[in-house]
Formats: sequence, C-alpha cells, structure tokens
Amino acid sequence: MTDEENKDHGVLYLGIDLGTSRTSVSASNGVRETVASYVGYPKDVVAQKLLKRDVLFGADAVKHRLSLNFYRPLQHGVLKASSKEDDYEGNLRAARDLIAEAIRMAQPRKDELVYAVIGAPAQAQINNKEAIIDAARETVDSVMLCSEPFAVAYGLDWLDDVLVIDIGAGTVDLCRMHGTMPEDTDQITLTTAGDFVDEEFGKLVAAAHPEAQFTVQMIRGIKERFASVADEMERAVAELPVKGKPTEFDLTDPLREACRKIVPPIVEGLGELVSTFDPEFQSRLKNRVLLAGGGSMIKGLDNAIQQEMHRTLGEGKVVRIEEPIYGGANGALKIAHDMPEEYWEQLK
Amino acid sequence: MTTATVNFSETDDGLFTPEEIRQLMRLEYDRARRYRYPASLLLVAVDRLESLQDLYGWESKEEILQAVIKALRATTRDSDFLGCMHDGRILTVFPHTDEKAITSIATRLLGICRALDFRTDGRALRATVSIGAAILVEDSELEFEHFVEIAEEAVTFALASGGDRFVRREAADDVIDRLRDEIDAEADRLVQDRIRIQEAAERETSAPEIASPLTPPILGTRPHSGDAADSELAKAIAAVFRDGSADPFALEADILAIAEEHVRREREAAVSAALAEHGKQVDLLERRVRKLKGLLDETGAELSRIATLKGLDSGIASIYRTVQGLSPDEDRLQEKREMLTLIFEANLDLQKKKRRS
Ligand SMILES: Nc1ncnc2c1ncn2[C@@H]1O[C@H](COP(=O)(O)OP(=O)(O)OP(=O)(O)O)[C@@H](O)[C@H]1O
Repeated sequence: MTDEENKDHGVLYLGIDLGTSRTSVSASNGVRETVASYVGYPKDVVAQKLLKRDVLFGADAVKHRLSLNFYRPLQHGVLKASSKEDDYEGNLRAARDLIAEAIRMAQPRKDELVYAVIGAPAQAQINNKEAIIDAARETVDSVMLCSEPFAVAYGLDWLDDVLVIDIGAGTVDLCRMHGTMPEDTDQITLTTAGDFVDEEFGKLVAAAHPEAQFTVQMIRGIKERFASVADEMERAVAELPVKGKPTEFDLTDPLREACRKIVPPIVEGLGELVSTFDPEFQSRLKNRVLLAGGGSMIKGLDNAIQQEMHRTLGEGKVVRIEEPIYGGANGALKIAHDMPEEYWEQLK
Repeated sequence: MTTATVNFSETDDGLFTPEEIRQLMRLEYDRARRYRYPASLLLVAVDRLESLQDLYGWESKEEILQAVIKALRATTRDSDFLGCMHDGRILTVFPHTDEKAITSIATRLLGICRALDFRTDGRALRATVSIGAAILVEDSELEFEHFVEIAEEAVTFALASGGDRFVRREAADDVIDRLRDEIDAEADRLVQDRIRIQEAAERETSAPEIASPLTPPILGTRPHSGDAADSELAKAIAAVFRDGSADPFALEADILAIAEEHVRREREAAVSAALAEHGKQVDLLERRVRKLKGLLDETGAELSRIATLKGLDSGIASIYRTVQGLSPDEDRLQEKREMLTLIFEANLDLQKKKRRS
C-alpha cells in the first residue's frame, strides 16, 4: 500500500460472533455491539406501514413478532436449512440481513477498508459457511471464517491443547482445540444449556410455590440477575404475582439447584474429550479449560466444574473468560488484526 | 503573561490539587460572567482511548494522554489557562478567550494531535482527539457545572460523529432552543387570545335576545353616527308631538316605539363596529401566528437538517491507518503465523469451491 493511499484509507477490522441467541461485533474503532439473533419482516403492507421498516432485528423483532415473518436464522448454531420444509431461502435472507446489521452496528467509515473475521459455530456445514461469506461480502472488502471456540481461545493467547466450554442458550459446546479447525471428533454438543436451566428452575419454583404465576421470561430474568452455584450466594428474592398481586419469594434454593444441574453433564463430556486425546497431553488439557458464553456468568460455575473434575477426573483447572458476551468477537477481532496483509488481499 | 495553572495528573501533587483547580475555574468563570468578559472552556477527549487501553494496556493510555497534554501546552503557549483531568478527559478554562480565539486554539490542537507519531508495539496508531467547547455568552445565567455539561455534550457529539473534530456548543444551539421555546410559547398565547376574542364576539352577537331593548350596548363605545342619530331621534319625537294623536297613551306608545327602534339601531351599529374591530384583531393575530408558524417550521427544518447531518455521519474511524499483521516481537510468532495460514487456506479453499460451483 502506498503512502498516498494510507492517507484516506484506514483499516477497520471486525470480529463477529454469530450465535444462536446473540450476534456480537467487536471492531478496531472501539465499537462493541450485540444484538439478539432474531430477524423479522413485516407480514403485509399494513404491518410495514405501521412499523415503518422493511426489516427488524433483535429485541425489536421479538416485540413485534406477531406482525412479522420471524426468523432465528442461526438456530442450532448453523443456518437453518437442514430440511426442505424449513424456509431455507427465508433463513438465508435473514442470516444475510443479520450479518449486514452486525457490520452496520460497527459504523464503518466509507473511506476505510473493512476486513472481517466471523466466528461461526464449529459444526457449521460447508454450504452454511458459503452463505455466511456471501452475506458478509456484500458489505466488507475481505472476509474469513474461523471456528468460534478457536476465536475465543486465540483471543486469550491460549493457542493449543485447550478445552473450551461455551454455554449458550440452546447448547453447551465442548471443544478440544489443538490446531485451528476442530474436527467432529473434537466436539461434543449438549442441550443442557441456558434454556435447560430456565426450564428446571421453572419446574422447581412451581413445585415449591404452586400459587406463584410466572412466565419463562420472568424466570430467565431472575436467573440472569442471581444465578449462582455457590453455597453462599446472594438471596434470590424476587416478586412473582399471586392471583395478580405481586408477592415476594425467596428463590435461592431452587435457583442454585437448577444451576448445579448443568455441571455433571459438562464434566462427563470433558472426560470423554480428554480420554480420547493423546495420553501424553491429557493432563495438560485438563488444566487448560476455558469457560465462555452467556451461561458462564453463573457465579461460582468455574469452581464447581473444577471441583467436579477433581472428583471424577483427578485434576482440572477452569478459567472463566472475562467478557463472556464478547469473548468470541474479541478473539475474531484479534485474528483479523494479526492476519498478514497478503492473505486479506488474496481473498478480496 | 502568567504560566498556566494546571494539574493534569491524577496522582502527582502539583501546586494545586485537581479539586482546587476546579474551584479556581469556577471562580474564574463567575468573574467572567460578572464583569462580562469572554471565557471559553475546552474538553478534550482522546478518541477511542478505552479500546486503546484494552489493546495496549494502561501505560499506552497514559502515554497518549501525556502527549496530548504536551500538545495542548504547545498550542496555548501565549494564553493563561486552568486545566485538570475530568473523567479521563482534559478540562481547560480559558479566561479572556472568545469564540474566535478558542476556535483557533482547538483547530491547532487537532492538527498537532493528528500529526503525533504515536507508536506502541512498533505499530503506527492514530491518536486523534475530539474537542468540545463551551463559550460564555453575554448575560448567561448558567452555573459553571452546567457550562461544563455543555462542553461534555459537545465532545460527546464530536466523538459520536467519528472523532477527530471540534464542536462548539455555545450559544448557537442554546439560542435556537431558547428561541424555539419562546416562539412556541408566543404562538400558544396568540392562539389562546384568538379563541378568547372569538368567544367574546360570539357572546356579543347573541346578546340582544337576552338583553332588554333599553339596556345600552354592553360593549363598545357609541358609534360615530351618534350626533346624526340623535338629531334624527329629536326630529322623530317632535313629529309625533306635532302630528300624532292627542291620546296620551297612544303618544307614549309611539314615542316608546321610536326610542326602541333608535336604541336597537344604535346597538346594532355598536356590535358590528366591535365585531369589525375583533375581526381585524383576529386577522392580525392570525397573520402573526402564521408568520411565527413559518419561522417555527423553518427552525424545525434547520434542526432536523442538523440532525440528519448527524445521522449521515461518516462512521467511526479505526485506530489503524495501515494493515497490521503479527508484530515481529509477538510471543510464539511462528506458531501463530502457522495457525493464521491454516485459517487462510481453509477460507481460500472455500472460495475456490464456491467459484467452481
Ligand atoms: N448473568 C447471567 N447468568 C446466567 N446466565 C446468563 C446470564 N446472562 C445470560 N445468561 C444466559 O446465557 C445464555 C445465552 O448465552 P450466549 O449469548 O452465549 O448464547 P449464544 O452463544 O447465542 O447461544 P448458542 O451458544 O446456543 O449459539 C442464555 O441462556 C442466558 O439466559
């Protein structure tokens, strides 16, 4: 690049984390944004007039979902296109718009080159990857995909022999990292994730307080505010309506119990990934466990997993990443930044 | 010429503590207000300082701030000013400095900062600043804290529109806001007036039915036709006495009829004069409302133009001017390079497959 060009072109790097429930972007202009991975299009002209937009995203889309054709394009971590009856075209368009929105949120300048690394779920299929790249290429100069757990680990400079636990809403993804692209045998996906905790918590509350009325949103809200697996935790006191009248309940015990339920399946999964690994490095692997994803914000979870590992696997060390929401995006940003110029050029 | 009274450090002991400097600023500001001399306030923020700090650590943040402070001192060599840190930003008060002077200081500072060759980890970084200014306007009633807030708004605006710029939030915006309020209030008042007058007019036109014929008109002075009407009345009465019946009752009835007719006509004249007057007033008010409304629309259009300019903003600049790549002193350089190459190759494959299909 000549000096002449340097003057008007800055280079904006983007790291994007495409998640089932949340899409986050971290950019080299300091912008960090996140949007719920929902996309909606007005069902008819009336709805369009009313909403004054052609497409809605995130919480906005959820709010108006009844008047929208509503998509969660990344459900199950990949573009929903597995079966014919799924509206493939619709999901594709939604994914495309969601990625464009993520890029827009980063507020790139027109006179800058934009290079993006997108962390896609490790199990994404080839045609899903192509769709993601297609969508991004419309708005950026050059784009690369990498696996999301790799991005998380790279962001923290944990380059090899790492176990990543990513606790999302729908799935817990366990991934053994040794190299850049985990293979199928390096991964285990569990469904005992955030939504599962909500469900269990709801059941326990209903059993203990049959008179209380609540929705899954209320339960999730309480969980996100107080979630902990520790013996000593802040009392989870919340108001729930009883016959329409707000009434205080102490939900500490059911919440702790629900949160603790995700520990055993995770440790079991880790055990599997460890035991099928080169014996020489098994111990190293057990001591390099990264805890990421929104669900990792349950207080004390790192300790609880570590203790369970000691009990069943003899040893273990778990580190919770500091910014669970932006862990993937930050890592992808770092990869984008570190990538040599000629690579970006070739993919243009 | 005095030297600047500054304490930009949040840890070192200067001659004054930052709190004391703030107190001095407040005094200086109040003095400028009282004696009506100009004063300006600059708030300087380093663009994307937080992300620089995230990426390169606390030391680089301090380093950049110090470089900017140095630039500021160089820019203001010949003015006396007070300065201290304010939420990680640089707050300065310049007494005896009007809009023109402060603009030139800010513009120079922007230029110097742009030219700063700042490197960390051997990488060239953009270290631009956003500057917000508040300028004291005459008769300002703002307290110092509010004055600072104005500069905060300005700097926020500068940062949000991409940084590397200077925004004055003097006067102008506040004046527009104030004018807008005043126009609004005035238009409101006029509309109220018009409604009141119209209601009064309606009441009056329906009044004759309620009033006895002999009650004088409630409103309005006697119309100008007064003298002529009086002599007409006198003539009519004289005619009744001259030609009328000798029956006193009939005579009384005749005279009453004449008087009634007279009063009725006079009333009508008074009411229609009052109505005409109201009509004129209503017209006048309507014209004023229209004019103000026009002004209001113009102001509104101007405000929304400014707002769209904001929406049209060019985005936020990246901290990088050039493509980066791994720096040569990176930990585990070789390993990282290999990993990045693998990712690149996988993506190249993907692209090739796609091109083929
Ligand atoms: N403070 C909190 N404490 C506990 N759980 C939380 C907290 N905040 C968010 N969560 C949970 O984290 C989950 C969402 O995590 P995340 O955003 O990582 O999902 P995702 O990556 O989009 O999903 P997936 O990994 O399934 O694709 C939700 O179940 C949410 O309730």
